[in-house]
Amino acid sequence: MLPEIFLQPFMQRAFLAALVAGFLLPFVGCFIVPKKLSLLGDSSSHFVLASLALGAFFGVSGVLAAYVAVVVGVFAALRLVRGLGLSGDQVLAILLSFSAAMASLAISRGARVSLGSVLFGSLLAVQVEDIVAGLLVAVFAFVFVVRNFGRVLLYTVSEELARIRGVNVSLYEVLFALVTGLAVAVSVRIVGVLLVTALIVVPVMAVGLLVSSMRRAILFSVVFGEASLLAGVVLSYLLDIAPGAATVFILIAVFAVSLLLSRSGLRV
Amino acid sequence: MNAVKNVVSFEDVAISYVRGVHAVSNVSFSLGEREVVFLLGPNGGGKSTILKAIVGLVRPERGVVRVFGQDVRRFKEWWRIGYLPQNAVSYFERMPISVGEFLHASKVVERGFEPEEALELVGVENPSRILGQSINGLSGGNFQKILLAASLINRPELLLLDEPTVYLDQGGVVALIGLLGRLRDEWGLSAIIATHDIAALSTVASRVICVNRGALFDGDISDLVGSEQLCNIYGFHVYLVRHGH
Repeated sequence: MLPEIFLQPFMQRAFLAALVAGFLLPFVGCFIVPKKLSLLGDSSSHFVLASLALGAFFGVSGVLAAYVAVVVGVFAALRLVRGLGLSGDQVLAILLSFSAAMASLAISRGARVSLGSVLFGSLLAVQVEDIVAGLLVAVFAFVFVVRNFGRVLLYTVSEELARIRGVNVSLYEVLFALVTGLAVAVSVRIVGVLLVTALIVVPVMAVGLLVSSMRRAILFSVVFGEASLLAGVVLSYLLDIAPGAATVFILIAVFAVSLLLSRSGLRV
Repeated sequence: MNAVKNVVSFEDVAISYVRGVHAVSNVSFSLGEREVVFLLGPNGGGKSTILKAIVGLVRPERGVVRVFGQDVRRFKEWWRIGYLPQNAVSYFERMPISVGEFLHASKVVERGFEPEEALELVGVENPSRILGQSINGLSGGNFQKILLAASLINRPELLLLDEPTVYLDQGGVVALIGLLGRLRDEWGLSAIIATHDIAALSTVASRVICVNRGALFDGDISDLVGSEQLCNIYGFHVYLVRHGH
């Protein structure tokens, strides 16, 4: 007999979404953080917020628009970083502010958005379409990285080094925007706009203190991400708190433990 | 009679990062097979820009850059060029990547070395021990050797080195000199070395191209010493000290 938590349809959807987001966000984080684009999660999740608010204002379905908007937004951010020669965090801070302002404008003019659920995530908000979309993105991203591991590594280290090793940097930029954007759009439902960044940044930061190779960083980041998000969903159900908040507390605890282990000289 | 093939040629090249301000202009020179040449000049004089133009990272506003006889804009055989960039330490910040992973990623042709062989080539002792180490944890000297190994891993015909002696001690510099001479003789390697440390490396080659936003001198190092050219290039008096090797 399964415990009640596994019998509720919305919890089954939440667990599946947690499995997908728990893989996708730390996985893309392993490439976002070394590229010094840590704010990309924040910016792209605010693109989702802005597109949902604008969709509500104009009376059109916001879900597909959110997916498109966030991919276009991430791609624009990457092109601006490269084209303007500004640092990633500077460009992303501007785009984050712009998205937040657009969302604020739409909401102040009457757009009806469930702000609590969009900002902090909600188990009830998870839809089957989000899970399927996330699963497709996860499979694509994983297979692509496995088959092109060397090129992806060079692209992450330096676009200049990648270019002179024959990597099609423009194509990789589009794919990076596509996977990151869709990963964020899918995950916003469960962890919320404000907490997406935590799942992108904290696992790879925690793991980065302890490992010396990218393969291990990816493996352990995903394991930390999955474990934290699933535990966060369970705590959310049991304690009736937002799943994003529960997950972030667990992530930060994991990070603190990693910090202590790294100070003690542990390396794997 | 066989004509000497140019590995690199610049034809009246001008490059700008900001509209109307040339990083370099009126640069014309060529590099032949098995030739090693130094790029000398002050910081911001355009040495790195010239190297970046050869690998297609910056595009000329005017003129043509050719690599192995082909316009660099159409060049695809990048494995033929090894490039050691300046200040590459920042590339690896926040990235848990091992030496082995980076060298494997840098090898893009079958004929290239295995990572361990590339490390041996550049004089890393006990290469198998270092393969699993994080690049971030390396000393400056070992980091520079890893980058040099990565730039040589595909057995390139042209090597571009941007300030290669920055993190090296005297022993490392001597080893680099020996390696460059050996690769030129054994592989027919050509090289362009941007450096301030020309005296240390001057046993490898004698041709110097001086740049300070333009090519101001192209000739033998012995003609440069004592001439007014150094003063013109740097804007103040510079004395070239020859090291005995």
